[in-house]
Amino acid sequence: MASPAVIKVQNLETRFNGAYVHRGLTFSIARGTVAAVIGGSGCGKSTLLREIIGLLRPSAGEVSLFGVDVWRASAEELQQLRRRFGVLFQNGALFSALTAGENVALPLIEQMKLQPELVGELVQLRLSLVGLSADAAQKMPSELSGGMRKRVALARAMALEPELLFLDEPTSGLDPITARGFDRLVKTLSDSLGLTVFMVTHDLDSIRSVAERLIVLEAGQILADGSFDEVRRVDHPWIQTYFSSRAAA
Amino acid sequence: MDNCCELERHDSLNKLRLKGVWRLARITVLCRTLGAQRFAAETKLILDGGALEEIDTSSALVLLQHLYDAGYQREQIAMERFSPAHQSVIDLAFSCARPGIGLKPESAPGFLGNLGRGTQAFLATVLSLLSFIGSTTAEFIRALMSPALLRLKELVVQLEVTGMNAVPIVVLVTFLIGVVTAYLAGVQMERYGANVFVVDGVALAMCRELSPILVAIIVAGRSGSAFTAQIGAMKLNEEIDAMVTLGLSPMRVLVVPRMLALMIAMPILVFVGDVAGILGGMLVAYSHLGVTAATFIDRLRAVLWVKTVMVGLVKGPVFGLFVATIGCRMGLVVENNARSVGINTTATVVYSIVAVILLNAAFAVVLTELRI
Repeated sequence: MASPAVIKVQNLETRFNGAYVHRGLTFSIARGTVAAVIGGSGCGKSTLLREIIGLLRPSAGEVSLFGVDVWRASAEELQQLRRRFGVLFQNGALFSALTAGENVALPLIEQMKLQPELVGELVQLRLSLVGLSADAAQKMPSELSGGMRKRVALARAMALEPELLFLDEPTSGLDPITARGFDRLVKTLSDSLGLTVFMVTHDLDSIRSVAERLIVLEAGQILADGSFDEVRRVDHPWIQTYFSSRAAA
Repeated sequence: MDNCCELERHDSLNKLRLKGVWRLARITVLCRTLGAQRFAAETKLILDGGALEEIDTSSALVLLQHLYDAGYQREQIAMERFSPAHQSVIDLAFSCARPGIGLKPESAPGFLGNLGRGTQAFLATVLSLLSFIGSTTAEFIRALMSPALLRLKELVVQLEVTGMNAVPIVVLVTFLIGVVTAYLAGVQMERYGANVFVVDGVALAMCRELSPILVAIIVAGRSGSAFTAQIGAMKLNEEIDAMVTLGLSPMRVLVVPRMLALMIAMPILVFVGDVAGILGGMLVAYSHLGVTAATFIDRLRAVLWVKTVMVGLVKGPVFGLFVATIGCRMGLVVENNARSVGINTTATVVYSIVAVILLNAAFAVVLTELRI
């Protein structure tokens, strides 16, 4: 049975000052899938992510999430939509004026209007889900290490129990042990909560262990799309170099 | 529809049937329903997930918290007929459940604590200020000894940004203050038929006091704050650290050019301010007090000594030095968060203006004592 598409991108084009970043991308991602977008630096992966979550308007084409066209939705619809997905930004993007706990609590308080006690419990749950100890909640983002900041950011992205999670380079800048822990976490969450995950990454290990679907971007087009093994067999210099880069390292 | 669970009580065990959708969006309903159940914690409790459609970690946590609050121990709770996915969500939540704690550090130091911390912070600031002044002076002298070290390009850029680009606002402000001064002084002097003395009032006030201080305040707001914000953002972005590791001194590259630029630009701006202010006075003298331009200039030549203008011009570089020092230092001590940039930028403007006014008072006292 084909599950309904959560993300649907059609003929997406992006131009910056006349230069093409994307030329006609089309793909859709089914519910419950963990999908990863890979590609060389500067091939427009993060731009694609920003266009899907409604931060950057594509030059042409359509993006829909849960069947709602992101760029034609009314402000109301968009607001509804935003409650259904969470975003982990590349550098965490924690609010530096708030403690880690307050960062995670913010969406719960602003969007759900919950009781402070309940919020405290839910924040603790989120933090411990991402493997942080209780005292991390009271620290300011500037007092946390890079890996901890990413975890707090993930906890914030998951604060509203989203059905869809966007991760922008979730493991970059993390040590391999923390990175693998992060992968396991994403895997557990997607398996048990039925989360759909769309991530942009460079990390081969993380792709191998979590991604059920790989989309390779190259020169503004989709070079390959399929499972890890399918993509690995595609005979293209970039892909072959990419997958053999591990062996060399 | 509030029917999300149902408690069956038997003699030896109780059974809680979970039903429907257990999601964060309905959490208040769930809490209310759970709160209304009459649990009996003496017996075993079986959770039945046969009719459960969806559950997320938040709802599972709330469920567990209510059971704990009712007096159940973890061992008393058994689960049956949950789908594997639901079971894993519940296990995840149960394994992570911890008592909720406050989100902010709960430390409210008393009066003495605050006093101590304040003093410590103040002393640290004084020390770091001294070290900043020291290293800047050293760098400054080095630059003067061998001008090749001077960043000429950076200096010119700063001169344009802080000097040239400030001319319109300086002209506007000093012109209007000149108009106001002439107007206020003129109203008084007209009563005694001493209209021509308005020239003395406007020219002396503008050149000696008003123009330097107005220009310094404008520059503090325009350039001092910009220094802090620029250098602070560079600090946040680790650009300052990168500079040091590349063997460049931030003092030489960032601070000295800005200081020099303000010290050169300030007297020029003060002079522009003098002229604009006097022109403003002249306009009012002509239109309201019947003093023609020719009379005005004649009188100006008699009362406005070069010495008076020089006093104003000498204040310029001194004010500039202080504004640049404060602005650059505040930028360099930005902490690793965005809020700190804002706080320090505000502090730069406030400190600069206070410093300028204090310095101006010192100038007034010293110059009067020296009879200049």
